Amino acid sequence: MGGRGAEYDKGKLIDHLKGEGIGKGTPVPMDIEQFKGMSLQQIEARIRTLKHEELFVLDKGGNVVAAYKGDSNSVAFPENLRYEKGATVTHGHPKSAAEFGGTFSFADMKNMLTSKWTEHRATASGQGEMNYILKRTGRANAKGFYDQINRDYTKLVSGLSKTYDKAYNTAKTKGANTKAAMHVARQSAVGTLNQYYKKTAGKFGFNYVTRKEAYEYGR
Amino acid sequence: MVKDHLANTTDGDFFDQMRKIERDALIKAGDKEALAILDEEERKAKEEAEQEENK
Repeated sequence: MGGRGAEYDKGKLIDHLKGEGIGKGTPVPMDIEQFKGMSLQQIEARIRTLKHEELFVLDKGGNVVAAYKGDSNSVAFPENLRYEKGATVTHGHPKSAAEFGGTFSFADMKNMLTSKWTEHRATASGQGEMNYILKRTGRANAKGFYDQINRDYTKLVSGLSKTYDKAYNTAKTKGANTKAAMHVARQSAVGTLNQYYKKTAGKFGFNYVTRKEAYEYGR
Repeated sequence: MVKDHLANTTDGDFFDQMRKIERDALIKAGDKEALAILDEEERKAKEEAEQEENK
């Protein structure tokens, strides 16, 4: 996450998202031959079991056209991937991050909103975990959505911290053990982001969908 | 490996930042039990990641 502060500097909107996910990795491509013929569901079933992140790019026909391997926190991809028009891009949020992996990170949002992709998906690891899907519609205003996140960025980041605090203390007061209180607080914190995306995406012509299982729609 | 200085990542440091938010909250609360759980989780995650890396 980038720096905190006022949303405007000398009247100009601060671009908090600009630095998200930049320059922190070297893309490690995987041989896509091994994924030939696999469906999106099969790819995401694979992703869900891994302890590291992987990112897959599928063309309009659902064929895997590129795949990259990352580490337990992220996966790097080359800049030119942004220009894959109509692509569906899916990646995992591994188990080690899963309790904070319950939605898109700011870098994920930036990647979608500055790309030509049709659909961006995150698959959280673990039983009962969700698929998070952001899909462009015909009336998508990616720049508008990007700017809106920048306008709300400081409030969102501080909300993550406040929500964690409140949820943790409430759970403890109600008699939850420490592990359970931490679980609730983590889910609540990222839940605020999830709710924000859900509430905001439609205003800018994007569909934001969460599903319990691998889910393919409108392709 | 492909060297690409313009590489982007999916999640950047998001999960690290979330863990920092959590740790700061628990330090502020002086919750030693929770901090010990965090330390253990991080140790285990690191160990698992290393094991997978060496596969």
